[in-house]
Amino acid sequence: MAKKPKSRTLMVRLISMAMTGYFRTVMRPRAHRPLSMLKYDPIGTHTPNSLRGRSPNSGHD
Amino acid sequence: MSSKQIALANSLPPRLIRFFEKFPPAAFLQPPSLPAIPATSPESIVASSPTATSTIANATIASTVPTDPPSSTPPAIADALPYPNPFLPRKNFVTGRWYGPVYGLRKQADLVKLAQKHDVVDLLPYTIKKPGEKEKRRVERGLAVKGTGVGQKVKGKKWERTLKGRLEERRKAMLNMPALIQEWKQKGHGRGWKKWPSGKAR
Repeated sequence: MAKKPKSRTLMVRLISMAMTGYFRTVMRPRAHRPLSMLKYDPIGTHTPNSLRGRSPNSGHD
Repeated sequence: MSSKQIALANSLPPRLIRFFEKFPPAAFLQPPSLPAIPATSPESIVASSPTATSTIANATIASTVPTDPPSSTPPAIADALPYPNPFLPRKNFVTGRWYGPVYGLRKQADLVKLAQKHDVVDLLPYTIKKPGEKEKRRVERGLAVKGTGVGQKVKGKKWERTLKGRLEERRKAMLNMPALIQEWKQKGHGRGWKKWPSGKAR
């Protein structure tokens, strides 16, 4: 049986650099560079801080 | 015996009088009086009412003497009593069976409070409900809460053990956040970024 081809996109997890454990799950194309975004982290703070995601290797679904 | 002492004995509430009739205090079960009570069962001690009154009167006399502390040495008094302590459970060593106390803890506390009110608490047999016993046990045993003794500590859950370090790490990361955002923006919004978070739970 032929192996299932890899999907074109990946579900990746953007992990907060504030070490709060907060994350967002987004989808990115497999060929894209690792994502990093500036997002609001609601845990422990009320100021916006950056949310960086390491796309392929940081706990994707 | 003076009529005053008898009156004092009669002033006790019926509940205490019934108790002392059933279980006369050790204070008046002295060797001279012991031959008068040949049998050791409590039923034989329960005599006619004049005897009971006299024993209560003797008990009140003993309670007024400050040099006689019957409650200070509970095991000795318990040995001296011709009946088992009605406030303690006891074991039949032949059959191995346990018998509960004649009076439960709630009734013991009631009796002690009543006796305290009438100043005859020293005449009661040893019970943990007597005043001062709780403090004595607290001194002997300390606070029986795990981890509060000298050199003791509780292991705790992993999130509890690591909480302090994680909060400190988070605080430092938040303090450093404006500089990090500045750096991130200057480096092309993540192009060529190397400082990825580990993603592992700590």
